Amino acid sequence: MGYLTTRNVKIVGLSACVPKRIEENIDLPFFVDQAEAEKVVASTGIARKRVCEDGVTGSDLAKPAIVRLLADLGWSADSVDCLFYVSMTRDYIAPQTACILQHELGLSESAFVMDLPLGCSGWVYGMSVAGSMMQTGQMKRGLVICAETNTKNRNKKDRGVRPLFGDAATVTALEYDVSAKPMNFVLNVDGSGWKAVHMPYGGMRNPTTPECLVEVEIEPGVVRKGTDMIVNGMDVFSFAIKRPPQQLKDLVEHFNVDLASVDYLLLHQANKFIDEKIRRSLKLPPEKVPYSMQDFGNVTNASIPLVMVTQIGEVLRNGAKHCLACGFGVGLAWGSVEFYVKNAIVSDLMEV
Amino acid sequence: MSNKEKLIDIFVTTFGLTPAEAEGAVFKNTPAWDSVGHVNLMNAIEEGFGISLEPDDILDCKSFAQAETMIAKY
Repeated sequence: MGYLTTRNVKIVGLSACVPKRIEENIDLPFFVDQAEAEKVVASTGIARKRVCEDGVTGSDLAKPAIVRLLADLGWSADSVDCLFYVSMTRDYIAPQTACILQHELGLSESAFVMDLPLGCSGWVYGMSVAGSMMQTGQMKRGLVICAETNTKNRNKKDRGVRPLFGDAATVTALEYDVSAKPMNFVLNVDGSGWKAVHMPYGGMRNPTTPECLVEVEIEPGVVRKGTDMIVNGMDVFSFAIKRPPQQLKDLVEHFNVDLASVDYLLLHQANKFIDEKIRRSLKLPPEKVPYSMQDFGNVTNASIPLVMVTQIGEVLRNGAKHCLACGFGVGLAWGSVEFYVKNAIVSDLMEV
Repeated sequence: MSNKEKLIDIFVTTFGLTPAEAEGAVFKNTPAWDSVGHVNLMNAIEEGFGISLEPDDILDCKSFAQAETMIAKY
């Protein structure tokens, strides 16, 4: 299974906010020389990322993007019926960040809000949840927020992760509309791979202790503390090179997608080598697969909407586009979706 | 230049090895051969030999000898 179709719900708006601070990978201290740094940039496709300042959370990035998009859409805050906050770097373990946002944004007390703690597959999963809940028409306006401050739980002395991850928040506005084309999903999970990306301490299994906050050198160039995210690069690579392209082919076959009519394939921005393999597996030309990773890195669940805002925003404002998207990562979980965007409101990228 | 010589060159450049070390390179025993190193290697092989590797081949390639066998398939 894993197939899902939602009806009567369409994307009407997109916005994004990133930190002003730019970290160039070429300047990172752990590369032995410029040639090594250039090699990593070339192989990952990531030249720089946005990094938030101490004390800034995902909701701090999300709020300006939400306020801006509501204004651009002409929606009042109390007209929003549901809000989904997709994040693995929530402001607090409890309460849900969605509750805090309901109050700070002035959403109605009758709004349905919830956090979805999902990583790189999060935008697709978030869209499937929002679309499912809104398709009966009882909820007419919804927001899917994807917000991550990845640089806070990746160790700065871990050369395996610091060049890759950045911070960003995005907002996708959805509206009930009986004339909307369906959104078709394929959703998969393989929990046997949960250790490929995980944060061992700070939850209830291994609560935070003074000892787990001590940095330990795991191997040369890799320093971590217990509350830092472990990313087993080879396990993730093995997963990503096989399962997402299989799933996209499954989506195309199951829902009879006419690939020739697809305008854009929007991929999670993890690694250009992997994404290019996926593009070629569907025989799509390069101009149909836009990238933002060169300037923003891997912003996990915000990757797909950030590509839409920064790379094809102008196109999405004018006319109808037929899109496929695929997000894949921590869980291991991966999701693909076929959807349409027509004359959307796409706010200009914001910086804080 | 033979395919083997070209492959040795790629291993030398990618992982900073001597030609002799390159011929005996194995994933587990080569410090620079991590996930990023693997992507670098696969990129260099694809560009150097003008081929597009299949995912299974990319995942199976864990030594110089396996890389040599892999290239012979294309």
